[in-house]
Amino acid sequence: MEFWIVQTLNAISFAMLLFLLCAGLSVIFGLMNILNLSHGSSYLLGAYIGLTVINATHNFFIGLLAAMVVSGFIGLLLQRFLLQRIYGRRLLQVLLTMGCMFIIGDGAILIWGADPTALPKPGFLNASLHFGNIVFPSYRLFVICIGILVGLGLWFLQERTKWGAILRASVDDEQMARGVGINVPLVFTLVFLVGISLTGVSGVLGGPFVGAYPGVDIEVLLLAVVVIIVGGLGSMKGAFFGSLIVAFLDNFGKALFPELAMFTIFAPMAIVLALKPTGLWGKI
Amino acid sequence: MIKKNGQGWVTLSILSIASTVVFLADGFIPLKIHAAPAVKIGYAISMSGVFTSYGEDLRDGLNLYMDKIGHKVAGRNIEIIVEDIGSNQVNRALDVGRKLIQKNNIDILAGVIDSGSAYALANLVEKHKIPFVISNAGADDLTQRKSNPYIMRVSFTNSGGSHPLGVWAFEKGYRKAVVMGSDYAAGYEHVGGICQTFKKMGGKIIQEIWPPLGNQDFAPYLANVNRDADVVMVFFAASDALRFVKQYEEYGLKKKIPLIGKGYYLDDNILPKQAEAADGLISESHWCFLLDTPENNEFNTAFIKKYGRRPTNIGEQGYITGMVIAKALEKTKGEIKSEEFVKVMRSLEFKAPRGMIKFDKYGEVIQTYYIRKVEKVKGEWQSVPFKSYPEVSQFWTWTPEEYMKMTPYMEMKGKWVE
Amino acid sequence: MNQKFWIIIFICTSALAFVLVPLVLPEYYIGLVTRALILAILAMSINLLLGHLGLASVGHGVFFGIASYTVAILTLRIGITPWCAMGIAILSAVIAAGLFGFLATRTKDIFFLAIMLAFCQVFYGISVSWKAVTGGYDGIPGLLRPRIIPGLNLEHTIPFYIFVLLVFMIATGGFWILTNSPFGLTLKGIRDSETRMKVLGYNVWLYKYLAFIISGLIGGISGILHAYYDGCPNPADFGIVRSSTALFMVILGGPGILAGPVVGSIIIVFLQDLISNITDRWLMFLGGVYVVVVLLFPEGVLGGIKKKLDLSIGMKREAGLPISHLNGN
Repeated sequence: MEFWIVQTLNAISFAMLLFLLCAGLSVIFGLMNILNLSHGSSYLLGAYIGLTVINATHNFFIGLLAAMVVSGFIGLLLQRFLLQRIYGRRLLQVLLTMGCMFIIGDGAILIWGADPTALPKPGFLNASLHFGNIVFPSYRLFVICIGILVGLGLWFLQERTKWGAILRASVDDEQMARGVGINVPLVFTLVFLVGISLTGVSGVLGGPFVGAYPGVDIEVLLLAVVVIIVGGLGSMKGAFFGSLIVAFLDNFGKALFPELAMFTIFAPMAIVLALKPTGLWGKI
Repeated sequence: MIKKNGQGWVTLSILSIASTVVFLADGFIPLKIHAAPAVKIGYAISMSGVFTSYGEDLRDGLNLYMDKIGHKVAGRNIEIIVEDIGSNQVNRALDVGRKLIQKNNIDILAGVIDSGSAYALANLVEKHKIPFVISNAGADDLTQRKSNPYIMRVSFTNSGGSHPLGVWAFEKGYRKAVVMGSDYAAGYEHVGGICQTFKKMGGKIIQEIWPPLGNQDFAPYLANVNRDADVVMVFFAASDALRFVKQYEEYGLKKKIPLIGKGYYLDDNILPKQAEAADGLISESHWCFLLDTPENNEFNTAFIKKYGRRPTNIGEQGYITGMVIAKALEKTKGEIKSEEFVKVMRSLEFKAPRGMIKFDKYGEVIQTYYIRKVEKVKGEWQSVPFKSYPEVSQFWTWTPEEYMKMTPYMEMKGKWVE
Repeated sequence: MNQKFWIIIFICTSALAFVLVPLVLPEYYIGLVTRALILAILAMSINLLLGHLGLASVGHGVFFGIASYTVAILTLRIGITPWCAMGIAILSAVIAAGLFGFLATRTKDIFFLAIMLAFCQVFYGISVSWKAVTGGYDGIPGLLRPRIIPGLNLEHTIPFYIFVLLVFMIATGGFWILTNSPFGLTLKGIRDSETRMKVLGYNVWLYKYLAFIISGLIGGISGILHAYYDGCPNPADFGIVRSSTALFMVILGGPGILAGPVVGSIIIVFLQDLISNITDRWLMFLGGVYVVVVLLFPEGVLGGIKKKLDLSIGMKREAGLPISHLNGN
């Protein structure tokens, strides 16, 4: 019994991490039709910057903030100076963002070295909680809470506020939105900023249990691709539920069928692609 | 259509000119480290990917030794050409190997961290008859069933240090073990050695768990651990090790079942980050920072002075790579005649920072293995050695012939549980 | 008439260049050119889909890897003659393309990208897990080059180079014939407008599917040569770096252009060699090259030069990259 409870909680915490990671990618792609392969690099940067700031200030939350700001800023530069120029040209986007991924990944080695590191947890979340026979790290519960809060917040923002309406209008019909006076390029830029910042945040949040090391950018990118394929593009719901599906399959797959560890993620992706290529909740 | 292809050929010629320029530039760009060319050592190490930090350690260790002898031996200067072979990039390793041998005309090939690249390069050096000093890659068969006359290894076999660890575990009183390791050949060998001696002495393996290499979340595997065990014996390295140890504690297992393993799971460069989660854990290794011998103290001091950080066992392996080559050169008075040179290297016997070492006829090192415990020493987390097994060969107490008749550990995955 | 003149001149020049290679270059560089030719064939398989159909694939490593492993497994684990092994390896790549093609050709754009990535990852997983057959992370070392040409020992650099060059020329010739055949023209029509082709009565899906299979075949050929060149198929063959580099070679050279892949390949191979002499952080440099090429040479080097030469208006469309909002429905 404990096994199932612990595994379920684990899966949910991993799912929340994936969600934060992918929410950005999904909306950016859905809204702006930009395929950003350097998405994993934002995660990596967020984690390393968080690490540096946390080590300097001994405060997890300042590190979180710093990661959010810096990765958002870099995302901004990427969008305004590079991606803007090749708008709509998919192939070039792939190459450009892949190039950025290599640059950032290798650059990180230059700056932070190549040793694998893990971020320290905030002091008050260091302990594990005990419920009877179950032992579960409190930090992961924290991640679950953050994920749900952010998810609700984003959903609320998108469905219930004016900003959300503007966003949805821009996705549904860009021409009309412009016609009505909405500054669409500004909306795009803001969305990009928010999306990338979220990813940077996920880098810090994931830091204590995933860690930061050369290669984490590609691993994270692959996970994100799977989630958005399964969940569908352009929709927050897709990112959220897609993350849950992938995390559960991965977690229980590993626990019950350890031999198939490599396939537990890609099999569902292939199935979804075969049956519903736009993803389960896709808007495209 | 025809028009288009015509233009293709036009522009191709323009491009071939450009390519020629690139090629010529390539030939004229000087190679990285230069001294008056004499003994050329090609150092093929990982400077990108997951093993980057090991690559840096190997490079720094070798350079430290070179500094000590003034980059010169038996009247010849020593030139080291460092090249990045990536991590687990067999094709890149081969490309680099060919480059070092054919373009740079190296006399000796050294380095290599991952076993896949080592196997591939072992074939290459045999083809070109170049002495090959393996500074890290521990795949058992490189100096056993698949050895060749050009191979020399100054590090360890994956299972070499496992044999004494299995013995120690039994002597400590453990009888029912769960074993865990990363799901790849090296994992099978590291863990296999422990199982072999543990079972031989009468212990039982009750479960084998093999998370994939690079696994992030050990929770599902930890939850599966059979709680009847009195010990968990492991092999993990690099970032896997960092996560594993932390999660072992987070999920409450540390309080329930003792954990022991091959030294990599508590590697010196991740130990400070594991901190309390590693407190009291037991591991095995062929070198310890705290070994109090004149050679080790000299090595440690020099390393810290030059690089501003503590050495690791990998750094020491880089250092020994230089030591072995230099001492052999002294003996041959600077001459390098492929197989002959390797025989000379294999005949060496000396005191390294890790202790007394010598080599067997397959080129593998015979050395002491230490059992250590993690403690806080002067405010720093250290692995403190408390027991040693000297003069351990890769075959443990078997003869080479007997040993190589047994099933290789690589194929024993899943077969340790009765 | 003008064209024919140029064509002959440049066929001769390039043929001469390739023939001179073993006579003029030192052994190491002959090896580099060999490697460039092998990768050029892989890039050619991508070129078929990208330049002539508008589909970008970051996953062609999968056919490369399947063929490469098959040759090694058949030769080393089972012990079949080289010609049989090579034949079966090509067949395996074709079968794989046939199977994947069902899924892949139904998708476009990012989904196509993702599914090719997925295939690569699945095979990566297989190559790493099925250790008894594939050797796991270490791969299958020890594959010797085949003794298929009497009197010629392929283990030596120059004979192997000649072998690879012959295969490359045959592949290029075949590619040229294919792209200038009615089949090839239909593909271009599909790239320009699927709707139009459908309206004209073409079975668009079938053409895409066939093209995909042919692309898999060419990729397989490259994989076989690679298996013999290094003698050690390993999981990295399925990796994203291999596939993306091959894709980049096509783009660098210029998609849709016959000579594009080989040009891109030679530049990248020699550039990599040059860079690693200077710095350890060559990935960063490579990334920089990608960025620079995208910003300055979006049509590829050859394409860019072509544009400047500006010999025909219609060429722009053909050498250019597909614009996503114009592409497909």
